[in-house]
Amino acid sequence: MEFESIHVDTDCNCIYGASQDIDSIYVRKISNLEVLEKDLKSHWEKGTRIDDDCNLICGYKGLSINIWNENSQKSIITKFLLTFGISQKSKSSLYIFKFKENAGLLKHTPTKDDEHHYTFYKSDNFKPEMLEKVEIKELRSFLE
Amino acid sequence: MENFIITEKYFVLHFDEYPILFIGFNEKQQIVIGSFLYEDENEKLLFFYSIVSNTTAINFLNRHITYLELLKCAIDIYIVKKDYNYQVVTFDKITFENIDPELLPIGTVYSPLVDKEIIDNFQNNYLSFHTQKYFDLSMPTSIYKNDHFPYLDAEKFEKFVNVKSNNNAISYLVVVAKPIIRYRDAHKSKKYIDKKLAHV
Repeated sequence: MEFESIHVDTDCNCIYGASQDIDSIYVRKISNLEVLEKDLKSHWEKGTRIDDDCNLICGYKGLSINIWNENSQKSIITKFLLTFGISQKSKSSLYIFKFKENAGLLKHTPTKDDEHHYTFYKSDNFKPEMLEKVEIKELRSFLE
Repeated sequence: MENFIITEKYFVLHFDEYPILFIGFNEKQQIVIGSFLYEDENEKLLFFYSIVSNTTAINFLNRHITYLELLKCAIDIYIVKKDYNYQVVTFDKITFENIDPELLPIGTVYSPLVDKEIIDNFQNNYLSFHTQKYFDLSMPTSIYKNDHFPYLDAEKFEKFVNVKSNNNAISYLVVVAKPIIRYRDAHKSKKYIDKKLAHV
């Protein structure tokens, strides 16, 4: 896998320590009940720019995802429902998926409030079809 | 500078790809609470920014009122559009009544649990700033006309000022604000407060 696009405008090595995982299931919030290209754009691709902190730069260059398993589901739903409760018009569906070969690399990047957080770095050849849909759920369904 | 711009003590209460709920002070030392709304079709980020009283902010942080209730009693509300570098593109001052219902928070949403230290930080920072403003005791009426000390009725507060204005009103006010008599105790009887102050 090549990662030239991610590194074209930075000296930071964002994929250091990252690895491929085609077995686990992950989740990312999306806008509707189908995945659109804009749902898979990183902050950097949308235009966010910052200087000098590789952790932040690499965070903006990757996509935020969460691992989706028995241990993580409850806290992820709690977090997403809080977001949804505050901003009902923001992304309201959960895209649950697996990675296919050569989609990209992952790094476990837990935060203070989210130990199940991962950052996904798309390979140069990444296409949305390199994600295998497991399920799409509406966040609202968890309110009931 | 616009009132909704947070210039100090910016703190994110909830983060989920974007700062979803955050708090801080504007340059006038008013408490500002902001929240993410959505990303529009032109790739701009929309936010609410509310200027709220200290009481409202502390009630919200302590989970006594919901975010919806906070918006209802906000002093000012703005809808702010920003680019992906968080630079303000446009903003509008709005009223609660004119908010598109789709943008309102769900009525059961409270602040996430926040360390007490953070709440105290906001409370004490606010009170110490505002007590400094009232060191000039030639304007005692302005003290109790605003809502910074809502649990002290005017009469009691005036007495506080008068009692100490002959020697050290400044330290008295600061002591009332923090840390011996905390804000939440300010509604208690003068006897209680005097007892506490006796140990200062």
